[in-house]
Amino acid sequence: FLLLVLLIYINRFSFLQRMAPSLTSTVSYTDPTLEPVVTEHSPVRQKIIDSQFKCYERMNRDPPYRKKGLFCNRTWDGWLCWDDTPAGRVTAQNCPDYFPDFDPTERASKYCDETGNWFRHPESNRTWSNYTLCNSFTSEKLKMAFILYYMAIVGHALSITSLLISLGIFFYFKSLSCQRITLHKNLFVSYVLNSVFTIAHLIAVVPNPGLVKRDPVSCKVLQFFHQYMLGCNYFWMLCEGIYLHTLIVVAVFAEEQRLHWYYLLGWGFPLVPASIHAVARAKYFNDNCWMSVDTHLLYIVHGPITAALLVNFFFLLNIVRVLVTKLRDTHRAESNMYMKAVRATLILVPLLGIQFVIIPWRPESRLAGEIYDYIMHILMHYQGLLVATIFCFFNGEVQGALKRQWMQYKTQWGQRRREHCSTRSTSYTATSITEVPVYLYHHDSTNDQLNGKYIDDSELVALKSGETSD
Amino acid sequence: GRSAHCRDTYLEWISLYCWTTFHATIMATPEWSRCQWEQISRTYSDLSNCTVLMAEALSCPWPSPALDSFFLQIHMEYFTNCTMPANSQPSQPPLGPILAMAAMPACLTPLLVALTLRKAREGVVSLGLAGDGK
Repeated sequence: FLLLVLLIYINRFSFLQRMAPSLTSTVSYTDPTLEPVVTEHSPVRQKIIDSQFKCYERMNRDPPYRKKGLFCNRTWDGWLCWDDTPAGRVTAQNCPDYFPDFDPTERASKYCDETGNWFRHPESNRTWSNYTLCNSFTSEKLKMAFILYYMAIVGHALSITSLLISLGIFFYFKSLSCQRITLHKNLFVSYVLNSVFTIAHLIAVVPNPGLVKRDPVSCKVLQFFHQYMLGCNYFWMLCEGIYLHTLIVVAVFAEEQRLHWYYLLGWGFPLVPASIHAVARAKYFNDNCWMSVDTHLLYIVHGPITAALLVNFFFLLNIVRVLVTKLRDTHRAESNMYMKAVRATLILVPLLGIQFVIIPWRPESRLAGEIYDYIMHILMHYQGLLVATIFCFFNGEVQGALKRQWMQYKTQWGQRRREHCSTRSTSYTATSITEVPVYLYHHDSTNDQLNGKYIDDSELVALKSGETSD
Repeated sequence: GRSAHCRDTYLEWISLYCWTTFHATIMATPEWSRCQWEQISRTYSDLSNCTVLMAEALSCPWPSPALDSFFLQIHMEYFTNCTMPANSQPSQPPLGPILAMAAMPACLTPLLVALTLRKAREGVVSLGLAGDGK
């Protein structure tokens, strides 16, 4: 079912690809009387001849019709090959891609009537296949494809910006750093790289049919890194879940874990499915630039991702269970703090995973389908922004640190302005400035410290007064 | 009647005019290249165009069951020993290897998670921080 999401995503964009050199068809094909005939030697004509040859080869080699009853003989209708069909049935297949405004995801149909003859159009009395659906919705689909395309680019650009800002905040404020923030930093870096590769793919490869036709190795390498980064995203979310689980359930608020294995799981393991996919793709389904999503080989990458999401979800449920039942009575204050820490992750994991769950249920109707597409695109492409917001901008600690910094700047400006006018020595003002943040930090930390140190309040005060440098 | 005209006369005409040119051109190409699509596609295309023009001249529909039978004969006569021209769309690989390849990392994932958990727990225990904390 994951393929459906990517199918929607990529089909929009491969659809776009065919639109880019917009030629108009030289044949009027919706007219029922005209047959699809173009006699000059064009690439379109060559494609049709190719299909014709393959059709007759197939007609020759396929076994004869063995079932009972009347049937319509296999035939070439000028554009597509039709198999032997039982009488009274409508057979359908995907529209061909000969013309720029033919949508290959739509279906062309042909009716075999009860007498065992192919349907003849009443006006011309010639056998006629129904290609009307192939180009009837094209302009609307094209418009929507463009909107979704630009939405995706904007989403990833916004994600990169917000993630870089968050990374800047995490690196600048050394007071915030703890192991959990280190994991956040790695998660953000993987999201940034994922967005970079996606934007590169969307801008360089998708609207560029010439490049896809040339099929250089670089675009396959890009796809490989794209799949790798996608895996890294979800495995770093898993690392966050494992860390919280170890912190809360296993070691009960002890802070110092060794992070080597988290790095291995987050950066190292996603290489495995990405490499297997690359090898299998090169061997079994080596299409141009590996753009096609019509292959089961993508499950090689998406299987482990789904497994990671499921495991993560169970970990988080277990954490909530432990927090609620065991710690409620004994360590009430700390369990509240940890609830806050877990809440962020608990919101994010279902949000990131829900796109995989609701995929199979794309509504049939046109309007609902469009709304569904918009929601799916927002969920998929604005993830980085969401992660940065929930893990950084909405984090109480971060907000506190930013507020302190802002107060510091304000008092510095205030002091500087007063210095111009006053006669006080600069050293006196300097010492009073450095004392202010420690004092503020002191008070704030007793209320909302989330660093996981299980220490008594009194001990905390003693410790903090001892360490003035971070 | 008309349908007989568009079947019998049409077949006569295309055999006489279109097929003869086609046959001559095919016989003029070396045998080893008769199965290579790049070599014969122009000839085949000309044959097809010829049948279209004949249909127009006789005011007959194109394509038609008569055309189908004609081309089936052509293919049986000239192309039976050929392998199909290369597919533009690669075919689906066999399902068995795909399942194995997909299942392997998917099953490795929980194993690796368990390993990470254990290593993290060992790390915590070795640092002496497990249990009630300080």
